[in-house]
Amino acid sequence: MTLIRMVALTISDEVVRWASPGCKEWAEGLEREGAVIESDWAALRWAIGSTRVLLDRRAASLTSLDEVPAATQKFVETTRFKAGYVLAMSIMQGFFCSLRFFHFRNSLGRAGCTLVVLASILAGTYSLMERRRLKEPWKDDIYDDLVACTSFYREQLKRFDSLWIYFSFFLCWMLGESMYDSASIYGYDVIDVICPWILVGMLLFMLLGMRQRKQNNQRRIEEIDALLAERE
Amino acid sequence: MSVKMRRSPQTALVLAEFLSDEQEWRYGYDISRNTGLKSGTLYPILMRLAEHRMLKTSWETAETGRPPRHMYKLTKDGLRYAREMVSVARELTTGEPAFGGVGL
Repeated sequence: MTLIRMVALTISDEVVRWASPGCKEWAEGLEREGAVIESDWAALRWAIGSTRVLLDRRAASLTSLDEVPAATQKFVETTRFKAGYVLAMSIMQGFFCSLRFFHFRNSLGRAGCTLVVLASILAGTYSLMERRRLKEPWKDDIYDDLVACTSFYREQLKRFDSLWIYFSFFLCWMLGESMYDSASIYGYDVIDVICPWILVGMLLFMLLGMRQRKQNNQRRIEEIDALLAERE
Repeated sequence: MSVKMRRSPQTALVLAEFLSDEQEWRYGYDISRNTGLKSGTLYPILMRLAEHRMLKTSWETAETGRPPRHMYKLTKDGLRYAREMVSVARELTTGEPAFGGVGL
């Protein structure tokens, strides 16, 4: 086996390994095709092209309605975990920023701190409400009733506004931090120049993630609808 | 369906390739060679078609010593969509309506 073929095989193996559950079958299909390509360079090009599959993150398809309770439970647990993470971040961010407030003598710095603290309070309250809204799965009997569970899951998948709300909080944090950074007595340094670009990158990353999440939720709703139609 | 199918020239190429032999199961690499599309362009199109239930997939029955290959074939909905799209693509490129032709 030539070195180029080995590289191609390694890439294909890694693509299969890291592909999301919903894309695993496609990644394996790509890998098998790579094995029948005679030219080593063509196989390498094929393997490199196959890495595109890694950008598509999707859950494994539902094959029957019986899988809905488990999928719902996973969805609820993940959403609750994320809300808990935002809650912890909000408490930390709000606490440290309120301490900083008194260090600033100018209004811009104080306004920045106030914005971050307010956004933290709102984000914390909202994430707490989200956690309470989605009850702990093991304490709820909704998972025993397939019809109720499917309807609940479908409803939760449709709720996309929470992501936009989290995004707005993040935007407020970013704006507040930029305001008090620019008002800092230490003036601008290298970090202050790099940080806004990192934050802009994070915002873009969040927007892309939200787009993918919306597509995945839509896909899941269609799967559920198709399974419901089949059942009828 | 709420997630819309992208009507790109590459999708039209892939659909035309499927229409060239409607009943046959096709391999990814063969489609790639015939259409000139790279794997990174072809597979997202195939995945989108499958997602819209226009493409069915299957694993080849394994021959001895060779791992099975993934195969693709258009569903009835897929065939209908392919004929419509290829016809539109042909009209756009030649300015004439396509009657029954499958190639681009």
